Amino acid sequence: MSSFLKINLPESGTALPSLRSVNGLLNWLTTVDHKQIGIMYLLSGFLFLFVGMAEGALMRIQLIIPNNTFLTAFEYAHLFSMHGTNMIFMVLTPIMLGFVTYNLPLMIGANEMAFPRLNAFSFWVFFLGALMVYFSFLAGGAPDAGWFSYVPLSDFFYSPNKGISYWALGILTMGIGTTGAALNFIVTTLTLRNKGMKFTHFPLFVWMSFLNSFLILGAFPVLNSNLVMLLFDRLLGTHFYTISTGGDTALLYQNLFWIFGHPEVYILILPTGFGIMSEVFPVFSRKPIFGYGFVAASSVAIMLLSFGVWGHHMFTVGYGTAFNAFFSATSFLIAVPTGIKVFNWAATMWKGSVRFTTSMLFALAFLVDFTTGGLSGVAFAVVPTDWRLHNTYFVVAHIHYVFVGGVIHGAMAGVYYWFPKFTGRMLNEKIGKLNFWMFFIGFNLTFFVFHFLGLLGLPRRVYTYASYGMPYLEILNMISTLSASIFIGSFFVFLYNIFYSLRHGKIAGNNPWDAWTLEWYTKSPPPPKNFNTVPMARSARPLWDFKHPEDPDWKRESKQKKERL
Amino acid sequence: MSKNKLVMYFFVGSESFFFLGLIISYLYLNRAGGPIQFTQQYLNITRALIFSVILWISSLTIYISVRKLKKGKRKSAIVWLLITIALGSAFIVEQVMEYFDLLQLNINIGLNVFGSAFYAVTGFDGLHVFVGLIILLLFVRFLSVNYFKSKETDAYSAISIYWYFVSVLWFVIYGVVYLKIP
Repeated sequence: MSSFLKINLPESGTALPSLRSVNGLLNWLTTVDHKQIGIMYLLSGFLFLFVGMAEGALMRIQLIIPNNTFLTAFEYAHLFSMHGTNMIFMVLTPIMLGFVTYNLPLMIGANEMAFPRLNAFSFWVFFLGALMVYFSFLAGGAPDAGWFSYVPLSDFFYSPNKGISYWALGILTMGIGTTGAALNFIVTTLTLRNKGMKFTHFPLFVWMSFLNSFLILGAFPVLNSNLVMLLFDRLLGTHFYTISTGGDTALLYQNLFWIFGHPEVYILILPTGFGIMSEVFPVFSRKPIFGYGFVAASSVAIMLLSFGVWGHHMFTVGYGTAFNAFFSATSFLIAVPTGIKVFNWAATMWKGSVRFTTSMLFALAFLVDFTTGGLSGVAFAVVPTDWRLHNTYFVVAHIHYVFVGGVIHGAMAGVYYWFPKFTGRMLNEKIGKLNFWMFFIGFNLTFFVFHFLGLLGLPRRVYTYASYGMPYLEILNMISTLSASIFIGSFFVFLYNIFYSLRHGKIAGNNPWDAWTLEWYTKSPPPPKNFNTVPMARSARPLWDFKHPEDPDWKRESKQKKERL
Repeated sequence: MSKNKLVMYFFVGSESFFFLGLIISYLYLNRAGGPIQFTQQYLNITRALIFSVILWISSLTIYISVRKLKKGKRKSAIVWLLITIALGSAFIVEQVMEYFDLLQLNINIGLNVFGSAFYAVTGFDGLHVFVGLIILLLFVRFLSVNYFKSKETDAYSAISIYWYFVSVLWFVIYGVVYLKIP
């Protein structure tokens, strides 16, 4: 008997081995293929999305009427901590990594990542970290100090159960995985890209992923050092953040956390939001992106500025005018490159022939909702407004408009856009439209009222509220909870669409959207070896050049250059 | 540039951000009036300097080793690599001695902010040296069985970059912790 397990190598043409094939599960668990790992990232991201949504739903049920006793204050603290941690570290991060892992090599015309085994390591380390955080439920209590676990709340004396320790350990582990993935993305982009592909020929999604990886390399290690100190405090009895040191080290934790925390927002939004938008808008407007250079350059500006804005999370600390003025100014400044991009996408549609596919609808909703989130963000850059709104539901509204209105809208647009490439079948458009409208209406009704709740002064993270004292509290909370059911329903429609389309979806063909980037050149779904031949990239739209040899972009560009000279 | 060296440059870049976080905390806890001034005097600055120099010399020896391997002189590359490992181990031994002396004085990690910050910063550097030593030991094996059959010495150059990083890192930490520079 042979001591080796037989692994069915995927036949050419069948992209990824089915779970039902011989040793199919083993193949998925041991794979180093970037496409399989990308899909596993996306699947685990969406799996945790449903978990996080359940936590959110429980909180909304608790808040539907005043003085509700559905949950205790204690349970509520666990839920909001896990909801935030879950959504940011186990949903948005893997979805971002999944899209990049799957698409980056394809878009630059490479057959693999630079380090396939590091790629698999990154995924499994991420998954281990996520399980560790959830294991805290079994180990005697979930974390209960919010998703940023401020000290001294998260210190041993105030949170003696093991929850925060598992939280810190899990996120530390996930941070290692994410850093590894970022290293892989950078080196892949630099060394494996299609011959002839200059930086000015990168698809914008690649630009965003590339810049984003640098943000990860700068931000996640700082978070990890902070978590290490928190862990040491809890496990080894050190005194980094204990009150006995004078109490003021709490500010050290806050500073270090937000030095990571604000770049993290851009880490999540750059590929999944901005990157996918910059692919979806041109393809469904049948026009090249308006101002390619501006989109790329403004992202560089965002990348650099994002390390200098963390202080706007700490205006209420009382650092004084100089601190507040500096971070207020930088926060206004970073809104500019973000705003530029919104105009770029809007201008891309101008005089284009817009196709309102589900993907495009999600992209349009992104413009509306992300701009709303951006504007409420600018409100926090104004120091007096921040003082008034800090720690109210206005913050909750802002974070949901940026993360759901921005990142999840982008992710949905991305799934509808790339699903044909992932599986070879189109997602059903009719169910997709239903999914979109339920999502859009449900989301906006649920979270827009949070703005009003915040302005009225309802603090975030309270487990219940009185029926008197503040006007409209009951009706606004009622609206929010009822609409949340529509919002959550939309994800079940999405799930149904995926299962339905996997069986009955229209066969996609290589390039169903008539798009211009290299991933659409290969088969759908791509064979294990992505490309045998690949058209040389001489502009940002290599497939356009390939299909229109009489009018390629690069010829027009060089002509324009000559005229300018 | 080869992908191995490239990834190592970016890796040590991100590692430096990790240590930046720790060193910022050390400096913050070290500010005037903290209990740190009181305990810092027990550090053995001279002995640490001697062994720091030994660590920095080991960067030179690994550099020579890489050059030798590039020229195809595998045997002498292994000799220089073994010297590097010996020097690196000496540094670890010194760190253990330092910890031992401090623990004799009851200065442990839980004593005060100095203990916490000192052991965290120097401990993580020691951990990096230690991991580096393990990798270098693996490379002794790789080189002696001629694992890299071609003249491809990428992986070895990449690991030397890591070793330089550890030395530079200790340069900063020695300045901050022992010489109280800022």
